[in-house]
Amino acid sequence: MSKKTKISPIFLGIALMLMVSFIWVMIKVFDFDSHGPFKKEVLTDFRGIDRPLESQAGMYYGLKEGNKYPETKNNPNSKRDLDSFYKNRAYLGAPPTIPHQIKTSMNGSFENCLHCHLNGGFAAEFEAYAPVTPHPEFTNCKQCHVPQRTTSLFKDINWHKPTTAKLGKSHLKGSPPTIPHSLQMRETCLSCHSGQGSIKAIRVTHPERVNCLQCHVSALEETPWERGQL
Amino acid sequence: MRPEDLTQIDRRDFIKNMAFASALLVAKGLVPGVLFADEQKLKNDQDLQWKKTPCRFCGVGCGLLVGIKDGKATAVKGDPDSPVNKGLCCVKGYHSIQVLYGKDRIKKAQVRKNGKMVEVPLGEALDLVAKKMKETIAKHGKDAVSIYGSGQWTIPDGYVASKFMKGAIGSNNLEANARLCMSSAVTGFMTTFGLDEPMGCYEDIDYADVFVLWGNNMAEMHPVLFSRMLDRKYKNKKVKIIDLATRTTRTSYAADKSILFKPQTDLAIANAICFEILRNGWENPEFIKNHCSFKTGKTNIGYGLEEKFNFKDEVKSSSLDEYKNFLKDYTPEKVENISGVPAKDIRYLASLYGDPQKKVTSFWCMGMNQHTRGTWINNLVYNIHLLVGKISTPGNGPFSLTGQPSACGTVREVGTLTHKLPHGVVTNKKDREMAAKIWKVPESNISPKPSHHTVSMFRALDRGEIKFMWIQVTNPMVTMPHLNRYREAAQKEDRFIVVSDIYPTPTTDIADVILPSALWIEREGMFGNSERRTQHFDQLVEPPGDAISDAWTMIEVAKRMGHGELFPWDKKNHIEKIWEEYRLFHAGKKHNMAPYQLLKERPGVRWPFVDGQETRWRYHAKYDPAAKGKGFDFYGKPDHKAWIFLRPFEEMPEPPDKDYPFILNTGRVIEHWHTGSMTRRIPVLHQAVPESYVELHPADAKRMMVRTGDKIKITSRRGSIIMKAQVNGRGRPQEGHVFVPFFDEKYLINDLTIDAYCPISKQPDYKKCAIKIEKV
Repeated sequence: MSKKTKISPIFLGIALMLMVSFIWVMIKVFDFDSHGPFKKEVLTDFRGIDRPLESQAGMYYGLKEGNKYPETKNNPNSKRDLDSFYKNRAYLGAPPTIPHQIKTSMNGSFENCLHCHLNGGFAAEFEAYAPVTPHPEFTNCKQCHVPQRTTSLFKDINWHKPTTAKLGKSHLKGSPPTIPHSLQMRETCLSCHSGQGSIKAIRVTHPERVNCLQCHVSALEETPWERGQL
Repeated sequence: MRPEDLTQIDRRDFIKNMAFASALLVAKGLVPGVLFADEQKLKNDQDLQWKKTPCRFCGVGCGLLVGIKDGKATAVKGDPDSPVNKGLCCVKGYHSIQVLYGKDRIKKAQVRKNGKMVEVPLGEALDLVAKKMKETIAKHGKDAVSIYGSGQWTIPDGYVASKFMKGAIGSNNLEANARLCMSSAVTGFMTTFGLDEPMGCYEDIDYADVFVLWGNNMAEMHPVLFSRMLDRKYKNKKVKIIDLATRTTRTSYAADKSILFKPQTDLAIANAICFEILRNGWENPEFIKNHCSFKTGKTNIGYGLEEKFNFKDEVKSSSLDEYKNFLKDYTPEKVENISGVPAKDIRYLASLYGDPQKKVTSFWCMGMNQHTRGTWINNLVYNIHLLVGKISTPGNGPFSLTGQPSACGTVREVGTLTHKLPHGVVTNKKDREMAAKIWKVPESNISPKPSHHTVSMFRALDRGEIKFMWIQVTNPMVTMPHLNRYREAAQKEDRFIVVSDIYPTPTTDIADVILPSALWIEREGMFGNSERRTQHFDQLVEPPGDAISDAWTMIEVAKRMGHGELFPWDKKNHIEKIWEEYRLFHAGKKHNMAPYQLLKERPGVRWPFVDGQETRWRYHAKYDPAAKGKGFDFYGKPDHKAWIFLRPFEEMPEPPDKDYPFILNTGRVIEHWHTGSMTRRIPVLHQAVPESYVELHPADAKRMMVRTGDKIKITSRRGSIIMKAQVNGRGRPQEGHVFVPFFDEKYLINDLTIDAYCPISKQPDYKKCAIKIEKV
């Protein structure tokens, strides 16, 4: 009897500690404000850069909406179509120009762009959903993306935009279409192929499957640079 | 839907989220690498061919892959195998191929007949050029002809120019526009280390803990390296970027700290950092004792403004004690008064350089080089690195960036400057003998006396001592400082100007003969970038019309002048032959170049290339096979030491005064390269920045009641110009300063700039002259 009463407080103490720590763990796990469990384990990309959760924004809107996802396919407010997509690129794969007004301020480059283009979401200013960048790890955006302040040319140029990529190319009837563009700088498929900011014609019907390259493979009509011995 | 909405997710959703997140993790692991390999096997047909080339534009030297379809360049991507840019480019690089296809390409030779330019067959124009050169030499001597080239020449172009002028004609009237952009870096290296070009390489970026940018707007001017630096910073939160500049730029906003100083006072700041390091005992005494010696040079050395200005430095020995005594004038407090930089910021900089736990890389480009004390400020930044021994090891190094794709490869290594030979200098008998032997010419052919550097050459053209000038791949009628004088000079009676170019420019406007050039991938060639990397490119597309490479143009003219035996190559293999001949100059552990075949295969090779290995860090036995002993060996100098120079602060040549109270700074924007003759023809780039402008500080603008778009008249002692103001644009000058990009030929800002230059390097200062401004 005396033995039993002696152990009991220690046992209770340990149990209490376990319970407290369990509650703490549970709070931590459900603590979405800090994106606790995601930030550390999931979203460090292959470059070793902590990619913010929202870089996969398209997919997460889908998650929030659950099976309402297909509705975004018919987003009536979407102003983007394939014509506008090709219009602000010199060729397929060229960095697109900035098609909207921007402030000319100096610091615009390093943070402001990502305010919208990291997360996507509705930009009231332009009454449109912002497209999501497939490479948020590069933050000197205006290194490659520049605004257009005039439509005139300095001198005329003999430049015919190369033919655009063909959509819906499947090797067999009904087989998954192949990827008609290079994946360099565009490794995050869902940033362009899902979400409200994306172009209807290239939206995927099943973003929840995520592992796109499981079924869709590159099929480029080109000869890569064959390097000799490195 | 915003991220905070996610907080309302219930438990079921959360489990779903987790499932997706882990699927995402798997996907992310699968995306890179593995499936890329399959890309190659699954192609349907083969009509788009990807070929490698270095970028045509800046000195970073990014590796590009250019897509060729039906004989035309149609697409660009960064070469993922290139260690320079690892697959990333900037907006100029991505659109660079469009420069081949401007409608006003010069396709035919043109000759001035009765004041009008007339198209003629190429052979006729080449006959005329050869005849004029011969006549001028016969009548006025060989120093009456000159060639003015460029850091955009390929290595074979520069090599042919050197052999033609110095070996065949026997004149040292060979210069290049790199004099206007890199010569202070060269003389800085030569005076401190005895050998040109950086000891480190771009890999320093991946190791450094602190980056100090000396007057270098890298975000716009070397964007790919800047992104690499940001990448380093994001991976390692302790990394600091310090922007030390005279103007607030994009770089300042990305930096951890922005420090503004008065122009020219970087000399005082560098000395103050050294003072602080020695005062706190942060120096590395062993390194100083074994690897440094102290030297002084002349002071009060002038600004090269006098017509036939001549200067020769006198180097004398000094000591650490004398150096400490010399630095007493540069306490942080005293320098605060000179530079406007708070003493605590100077101490902070010194603490970064002085912290033994931190690896420090300094970057600079035009801010330090286009400086009437350019050689001195290069010396002074080396002093800082030498005092603390942070040099020639990964992450530690002073790194001088270049502006042109082959300023290093062609102008500095081939030596297309008046005093240079492909190996060494014309004043050295041994170097002349070597050149004579390789070129198979009598040694007496090579003149032992340097003639004209760039500014002096244009002054000689004005005075009439030079009658014939052949300008290639550069646009001096936009870029020369005090431009109006030299434009008039070129248009004088009995001056004959030949211009080889790809588009009409203000320089072709003053030409008597225009020769059509093949551009970049329209011919085979090599460029050499800032980190000693030589990159080869094949001819990928056909040049338009009669256009041929500048190298072959010069060979054709040389043949017509009777020097054909010096260029016994056929058109098909001449690049390979030139390369193998040129390599002979650099044989040996200190500068060996890679063989031709290897250059064709690899994404560039860094010299010294010894025993099949590139040298990444020079002057350290661990990395450099030319270094003797176990550690550092500065073998460029006879005493195997790096020289710490006692260089004082001296004022700018034309400080602002009552009549001209403002300071004019000129430079570039990311979209345009140099004079814009290429980038302005690229639609995306022109449409981003269609014309030049003058940047004002908001307080000055408010006082003058000026808003963006209002017209401003800028006047210096040499000229005036009216252009539109920009306030709170992409850059902000300090109060009392203005900044003007020089790319726009409609606004020739160099009519206003001063042709003062560094007496040692002869490089002009485009960054500061006195002006007044008024609203019109």
